Amino acid sequence: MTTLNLLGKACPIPVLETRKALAQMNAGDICETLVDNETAVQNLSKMATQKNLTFTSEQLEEHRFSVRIVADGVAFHSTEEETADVCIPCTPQGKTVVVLSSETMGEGDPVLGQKLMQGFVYALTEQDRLPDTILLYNGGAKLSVEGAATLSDLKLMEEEGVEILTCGTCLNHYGLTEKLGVGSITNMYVICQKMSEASFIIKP
Amino acid sequence: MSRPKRAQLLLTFETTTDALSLEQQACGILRGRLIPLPGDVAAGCGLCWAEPAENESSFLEFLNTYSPPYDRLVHRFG
Amino acid sequence: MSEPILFCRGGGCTAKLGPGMLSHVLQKLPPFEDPNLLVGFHHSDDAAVYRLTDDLAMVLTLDFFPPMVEDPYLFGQIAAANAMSDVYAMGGEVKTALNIVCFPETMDLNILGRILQGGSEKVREAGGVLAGGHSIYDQEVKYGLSVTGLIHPDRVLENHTPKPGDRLILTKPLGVGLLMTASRAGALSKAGLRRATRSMSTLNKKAAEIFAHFTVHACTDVTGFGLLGHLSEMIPSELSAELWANELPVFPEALDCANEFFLTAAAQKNRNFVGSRASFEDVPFAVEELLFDPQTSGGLLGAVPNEEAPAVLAELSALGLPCGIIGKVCDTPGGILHVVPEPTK
Repeated sequence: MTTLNLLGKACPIPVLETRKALAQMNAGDICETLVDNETAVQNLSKMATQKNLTFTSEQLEEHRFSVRIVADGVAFHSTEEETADVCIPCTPQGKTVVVLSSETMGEGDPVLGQKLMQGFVYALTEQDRLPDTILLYNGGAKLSVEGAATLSDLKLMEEEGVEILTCGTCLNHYGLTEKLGVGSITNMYVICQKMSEASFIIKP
Repeated sequence: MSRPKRAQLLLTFETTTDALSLEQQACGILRGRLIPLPGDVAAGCGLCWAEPAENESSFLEFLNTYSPPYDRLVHRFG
Repeated sequence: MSEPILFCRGGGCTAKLGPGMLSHVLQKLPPFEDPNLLVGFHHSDDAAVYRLTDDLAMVLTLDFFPPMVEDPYLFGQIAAANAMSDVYAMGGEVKTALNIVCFPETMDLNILGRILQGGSEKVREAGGVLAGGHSIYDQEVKYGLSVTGLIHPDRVLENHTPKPGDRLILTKPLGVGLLMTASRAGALSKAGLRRATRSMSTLNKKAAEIFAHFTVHACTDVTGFGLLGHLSEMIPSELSAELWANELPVFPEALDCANEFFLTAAAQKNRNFVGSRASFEDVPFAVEELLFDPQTSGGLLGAVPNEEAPAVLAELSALGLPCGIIGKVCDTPGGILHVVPEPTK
C-alpha cells in the first residue's frame, strides 16, 4: 500500500496527487490518501466513483481522514483507452457450476455455518465472473425459497444470466415446493448432467 | 459480469458475536445486512454490516441510539 | 512522493466562505428594523438597498479576495469588476468605490500600484468615482472594493422573485473556476487562460443595461456559490426550475478540466449546500461539476418572460461573450433545480 500524506493540502492537490500515484500502480494495489478535511474526502470519492474504482473512506480522528482507493491498473494510465479493450479475455474456458448442498457452510456451530453460507452466496455475486449454473439440493434447497436470506443474491445472479436449479425432490421433502423464489425446479438427471459437463465444480 | 458497484457504509466488528447481535438488533430497523468483510477493508472479524449509503442519516441515528459494540465505520464504494 | 505543485491558496471566488456556513451565522443576528432598508442580508441578495427618498435608493456592496491570476494589473481589474457586479445584479448604477487592500509588508509596492491601477480603470469604465480606501498589512495579498450605487426604489431587481414560465438567461460562460484551478496546476492552454481572464475582467454593466430595457422579474450575479447555488437562492419553494445542459454557455476547455478532476473545495461545498434540491437526469459528471463551479466575476442570471427572452439574448450575444437561454422557471412546487440535457415538453 502506498500512503500519500496530504494533511494540510487544499483541493485540488489531494485529488491530483492521488491521480498521479494511481497512474503508476498495478491492479489491486491500494493507494491511501490522508487528508484533513471532509471536502477533500468528497472530491476524492467523486474521482474514484467516476473511474469506477473501489474505495473506502474513514475518519481516523478530528481533521484526519483516510481514503483508500484500489487501483485497477487502467484508470489514469497513459494507455487507458487501448488497454480497456484488450484486457477482457484470459477467463477460464468451460462451464463453472456451484453446488450448494447444505444450508450451512462447514461443520461446527450451525448458526455460524448459516452466516458463512449467506456470506458465500453474497461473495459469489461480487466475483468478476459469475458461475454458469448454481445447483441447490438437500439442505441447499432451503436457500432458494421465499424468506431465505440468500434469495436476493440468487435473484441478482439470475438477472445476470446465471442458471439456478433447485432439486424438486428436496423441495418436496421439506414441504417447500410452493415457496421456490428463484430459478426453476430440476431433477437428478439434470443435476448429474450439469456436474458431468462442468469444467469446474465449486462446492463450499 | 458481477453486480455494479454502489456506495455503502460498513460497520466492522471485533468479534463475530458482536456482528450477529447487531444483526438481531437491526432487524426491522435498518435496511442493510451482514456481508463478508471485503479484502480492501483491513482487520476485525470476518463479517461486517453493510448499510446502503442513502440510508446514512438513519444508520448514524441507530448507532447513536443503541450504541452497539463495533470496531470501525467506513464508507465504501465497491 | 514527489514535491507537490506549489499553488497559491484558492484565489478569487473559490476563497469564499461556504453558503451554508454563512447563513448559519447570519441567522443568529437579530434583523434591523428600518422600513428604508429595502434589501438586507436576510434575503441572501447580492447587495443591500437603502431608500433615501421616494425616488432614490443607495445600493451598497463590498467584495474582496486573494489573487487568482499572477498579473497584478489584471487581478485589480477582475477584483473590481467582481465587486461592482453586485450593483448591476440589483439593477443599479455604480457611483462611488473605495479600495480595500491587504498587502504584505515585505512585498514590492509596485505590485500594489499595478493592482490599484487595474481597479481604478475598471471603476472609471463603470462610470464611477474612486473616492478613497483602506489598506492594512497582511500575510497575503487581498484586494477588492466597497461600492455604492444608485437606483430607483421601485426598480430594484431582487434575486428571488421569478415568475412561472420565465426563461433563465446567463450572460457569461461557465467554468472559470475549473479553468483557473487547471491553470494553477499548469494544465491550461494560454488561449484558455486568456478567455477566462477576459470574461472575469468584463463588467456586467452592459448586460445590466440590456436587462433594463426588458422585463426582468429576478436577477442575480453568478459568483462563488456556482450557478446552482445562486439559482437555488432565486427559486422559491413554491416554484422549480428546469436547466438545459446542452444550452449552457461554457468555456471550451472547462469540461475537460472537470474530467481531469481539477476539483475545488468550493465547488464541493456548493454541491453540499444545494444538496437534494438539485436533480440530474442524463447529465455527465463534468456538467454537474460545471454547475457547482465557483465563478469569479461571473455573469448575470436573469429571469425574463418567455416572449422577451429571444430579443434579450440577441442583444446580449452582440456583446461578444458566450451567453444563453439556459432554462425555465416552472410552477411545480418544491424549489427543485432539475437539470436535463434539453428542454422537455
